[in-house]
Amino acid sequence: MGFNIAMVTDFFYPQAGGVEFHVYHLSQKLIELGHSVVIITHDYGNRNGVRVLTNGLKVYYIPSLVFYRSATFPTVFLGFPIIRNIFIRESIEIVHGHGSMSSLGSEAIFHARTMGLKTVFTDHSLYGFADLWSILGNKLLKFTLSDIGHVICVSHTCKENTVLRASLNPLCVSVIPNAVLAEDFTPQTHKCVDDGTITIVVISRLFPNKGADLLTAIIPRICDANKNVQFLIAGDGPKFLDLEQMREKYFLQERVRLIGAVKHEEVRDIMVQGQIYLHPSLTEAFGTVIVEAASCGLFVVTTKVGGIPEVLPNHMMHFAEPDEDSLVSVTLNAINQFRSGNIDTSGFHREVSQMYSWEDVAKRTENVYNSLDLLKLNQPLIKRFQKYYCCGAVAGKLFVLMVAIDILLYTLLEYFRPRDQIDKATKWPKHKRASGIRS
Amino acid sequence: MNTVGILKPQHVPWKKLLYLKQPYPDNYIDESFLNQLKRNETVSQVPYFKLVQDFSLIVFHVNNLVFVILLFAGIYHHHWDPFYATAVSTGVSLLGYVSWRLYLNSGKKTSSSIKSFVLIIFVLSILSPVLKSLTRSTASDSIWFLSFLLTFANLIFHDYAINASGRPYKPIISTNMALSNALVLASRFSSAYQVFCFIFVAIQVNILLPLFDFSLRKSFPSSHYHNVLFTGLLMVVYTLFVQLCDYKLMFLYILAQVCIIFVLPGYFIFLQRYKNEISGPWDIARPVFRSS
Repeated sequence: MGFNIAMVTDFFYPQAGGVEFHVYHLSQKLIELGHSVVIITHDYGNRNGVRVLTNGLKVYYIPSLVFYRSATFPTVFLGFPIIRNIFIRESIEIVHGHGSMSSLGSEAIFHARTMGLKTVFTDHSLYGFADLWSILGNKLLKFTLSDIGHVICVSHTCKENTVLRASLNPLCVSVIPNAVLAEDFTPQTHKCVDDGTITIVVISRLFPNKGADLLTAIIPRICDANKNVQFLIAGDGPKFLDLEQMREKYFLQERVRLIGAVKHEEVRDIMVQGQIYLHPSLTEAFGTVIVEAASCGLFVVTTKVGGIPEVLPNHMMHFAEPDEDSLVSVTLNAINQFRSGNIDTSGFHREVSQMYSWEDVAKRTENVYNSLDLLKLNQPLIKRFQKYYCCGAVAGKLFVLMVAIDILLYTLLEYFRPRDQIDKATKWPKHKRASGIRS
Repeated sequence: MNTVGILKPQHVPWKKLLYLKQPYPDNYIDESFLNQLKRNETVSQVPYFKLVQDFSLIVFHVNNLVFVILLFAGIYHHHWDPFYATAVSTGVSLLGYVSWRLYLNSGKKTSSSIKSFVLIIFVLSILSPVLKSLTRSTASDSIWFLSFLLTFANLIFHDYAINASGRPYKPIISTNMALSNALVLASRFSSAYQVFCFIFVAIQVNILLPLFDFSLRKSFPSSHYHNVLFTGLLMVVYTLFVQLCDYKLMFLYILAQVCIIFVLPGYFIFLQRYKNEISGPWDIARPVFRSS
């Protein structure tokens, strides 16, 4: 028998992004491995209630207050009744939260520990330590992860970051990378007429931390140095205007195409129009888009930040420092190498499809689930208090208070909404798959 | 296949790469773990003497504020004639203005500054009778407390401009608070003449003097003009103190100032050892642009 798993995150379909795809694909593969998976997220406008996706992947859109960029307001206790109800209804054994800025995920993990369930958390992003928001966020993360079963990070850099932010034992943290659906990112089969023009593709939300300012600075210089280069830029954001202004200032309307926001399905068709993928980001935990670009047969030029150096081998990408001169020279060098035929991208797709696959991710995640031991996790209450108390001089006492309140709430809920009065949901019928059954 | 808990003989060294299938568990910790971590990189040791100079700016501003309060106390409690104070401070201001025109600033037009100067005087003289009766229905204690709050907030939010070079100086918050404080205090006086003179001096001391001092420090960073100005202000404030309060209070006041100038910088340096700043590859990179 597989586990009953609840994936909890603020970020899910209809929104598109790294966490959303990760949760969806991981869930699908876990279902194929014989587990039963439900997803709990907050409602998106009129998309609320319970929805069932492919292969009986059930999604609970629970009502909550959206706070900032689709993250819910951290109420800590308000979601407990409905979360408990879902956990009992679906006979959940493992609660898996995603994304450190998802307060719904943090809450669910907190309540799951009160209910004595196994918990796993996946961190998808990097945070600093210096500014006020990071400090608050890190305290929140410490609160979430104080009593966690296991933590998964998407890259080694992310692991180092999370271990420091939440003061974790690094043995409790596994590194399982993201993956891409290689069959969705196939290179162009027929080569278009080769007139020597090189198209550089950029697909990125145009935010300052994605390096939009660097992009604006280097495009005119690259266009000036090399007459046969075109840019194709997809994505929208606050820096879109800057790019448009740059294009007008240097009369590059013919050579720089700005197509605005694109759907994830269209990314492949845009990528294959180019030969080089440029990634000027200033921070990145994993950089799924780089892997997607390489899978489409593009050569990658990227800044050497965050977890990016771990993602692809050196013959697929060139690194630049996050500074204007370095990016320009590395990009020009890549263009020249491409022209002279030193770079062969024909094997990229096959190589990437062997490196990353969601099956692999799901199997490694399953290993993490198997390693969780309830006897080790459910220690006496005083031990749990101790873990929270060590979180800080003031915060520690506050956290202990919150744990106590949560336990009280749980007792009240057990009394007023008894477990046996909650209907158990019927599980989606499982197809027997020889490879899918856990040993 | 990587599995949690199974360790194969480690012939192949571990690499910090995600695309390789390595014979190590997913939660493997290599020796290189956190070796890119850097601590206290941006911390620079500031020499004690430089800190003393920076902290003396606080004392300068404190004296600035205390001067206005002492002047108020003199006029209000001891019935000083505000004429002399106004005459002296206006004379000094004019002297300062001339030297500012000659040595410090040549950008602004003389006519515009004289125009605004005359305008302020007229507005002030028109408003003085109104201001006189502004807080008649309020108890004096409330006014003292309000004045204390304004002065204290002024002290905290003032732009001390430690690095005078290269940036514009716009102490907006402290200017507003100093003016509010002057207005609040002036509303206690019984004649419009006192109100006018007091606010006039307060503007000169609390608003124009810091601007003048900033220009001095900006234009002559290595000279002692600022120190001369500082000492002059100290002399004036101490004289007022002797006139109005007893020596015990003045001794405490001087002691506090010595503490701020000489003890606090030492404490600041002492606190540096508790600094724990962490940086590493996860931080948002600072993009470098070609300066053009």
